[in-house]
Amino acid sequence: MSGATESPPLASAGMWKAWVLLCISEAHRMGMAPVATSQLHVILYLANTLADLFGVTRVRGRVLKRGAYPFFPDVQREIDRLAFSGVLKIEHVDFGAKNHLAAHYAVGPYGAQIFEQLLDRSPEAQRTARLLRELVCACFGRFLAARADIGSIDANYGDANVLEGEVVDFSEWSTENNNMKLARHLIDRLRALRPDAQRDGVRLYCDYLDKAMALI
Amino acid sequence: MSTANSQVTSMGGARLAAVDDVIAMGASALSVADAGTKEAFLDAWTRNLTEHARHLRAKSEELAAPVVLVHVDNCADIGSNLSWVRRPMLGGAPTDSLAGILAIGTAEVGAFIKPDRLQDTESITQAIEQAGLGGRLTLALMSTSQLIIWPHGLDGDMEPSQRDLSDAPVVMDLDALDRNLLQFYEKVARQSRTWWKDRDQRITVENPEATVQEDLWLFLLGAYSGRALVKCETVIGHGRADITVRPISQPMDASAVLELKTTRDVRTPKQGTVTPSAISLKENIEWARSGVQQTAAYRDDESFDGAYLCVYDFCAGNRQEIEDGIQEAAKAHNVRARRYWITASHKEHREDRYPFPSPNTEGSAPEAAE
Repeated sequence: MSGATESPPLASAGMWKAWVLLCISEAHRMGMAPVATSQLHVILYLANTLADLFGVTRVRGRVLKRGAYPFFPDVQREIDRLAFSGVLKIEHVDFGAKNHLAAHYAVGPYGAQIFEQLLDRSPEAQRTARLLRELVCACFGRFLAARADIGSIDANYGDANVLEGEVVDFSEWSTENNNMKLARHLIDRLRALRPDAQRDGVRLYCDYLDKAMALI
Repeated sequence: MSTANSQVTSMGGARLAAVDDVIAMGASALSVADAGTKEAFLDAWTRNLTEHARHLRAKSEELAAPVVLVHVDNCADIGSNLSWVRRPMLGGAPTDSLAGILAIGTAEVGAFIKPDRLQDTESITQAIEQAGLGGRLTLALMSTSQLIIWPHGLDGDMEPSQRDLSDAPVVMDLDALDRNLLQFYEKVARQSRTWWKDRDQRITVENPEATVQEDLWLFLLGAYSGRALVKCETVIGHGRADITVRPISQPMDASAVLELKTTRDVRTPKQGTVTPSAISLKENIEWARSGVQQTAAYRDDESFDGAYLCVYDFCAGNRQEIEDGIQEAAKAHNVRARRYWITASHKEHREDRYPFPSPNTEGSAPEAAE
């Protein structure tokens, strides 16, 4: 039963908030903030799929397959709460078609202090921050600065066996985390160069996304 | 179907052509260090600037003004304070116009740049000073054929290293590595001021091996970035190699593992104590020789082309006994053992390099003044 191992909603809301703040803070430090909504959801999704590489407990192992990139509607509510409470701030908003709004987030007035406290008090937060730092660096320097629509080429989300409207399941009780399989495959193929299993696992998967994006 | 393809058919939506591309490009996505560290920054920006210079040479263009990158831990906070402009994709493409840019960065791509482009080294130096960045790792592309790296900043004690960017073919064999190690010794190590805590008493910094390792790593990163992965503390078998050098794609290039040892007359007193405890010559020789076994084992475990033992010798007197001790051990295991003597003063350096002729070798003793 999936419910037995998933975090209860309240606890996972706190975890999501921590992950979001860690992600925006790392992007800020590297000069990549503000981060657009689509970019943030892609990073959070990839971090969950590749969490095992860094020994990080993923917050969620599922996402609804709908749209051009992975998006977590409930997490968006937590992101907005962080923005309204001053932990994040909205630098600007893009107005799209059909009243669609896309906010660009940066660290808010209270964010920096909370970020430091998280890192000081929690080794798990430190590992998560490292994972997110690698992802931010590997994604923004490449495809993610220009486009976030990884859906069709991501090994999990783009799996043709999962139809639009179905759930993409890459949780620990599933053997279908194709992103991890691909990252491990790349590490294995390049083992002569002694890749670092953690950071290069992330980098190689993002390098794959970058190259695959160029094909579509 | 390629081998790679056949192995990834069960990987969901993965595009096999892209998977093959990643494998074919090999090391282009691999990093020598964690994101955000100065080592990763140095490795990436050396490549970015080298590519930019190559791009200009291919178009027969000159670099109109130097390009300077400075590493900081948090470029957003510092960049905002300086009112510099965010350029998240700077360095992403070698075709970008970079001449005259002074920038601070944290990651491998992206930076904050000074709004006005600077045309000469004097104005760039002044701007770095004014921004308080004189102690930060700095890279400067000076022309289409020259890159200069200041590992500890323009104000740092460490001499800058220069990288020749010409299109002439370079073979990165073990002899070339030897020359680089010697260059590091002459430029950085032999008269180092930062490796000593108290030069008069020949007391080194608390952990001299780690300090030497960091400086040598930065030096080799600058020299080999783009051609080889230069890594620190790579786990090999049951140990950790101090530094490894692995060529990325050139079949003629050689790989090597380096074990670093330091020998010294006294242990650095711990905080709260003042008396340094002596280390005997025998202990030093044994310690240095132990590096032979380590580096030979790492080489054989990982099939490196060469194994080096680099002894940075802080002992007084430039003792031949240490040299003899490591050479004897190294010979048995085909290890390249190198001892680099660290002088504690300019006087010591001069006396060692420019000794007066010994009276015995000059024939008769000088006549007493008449």
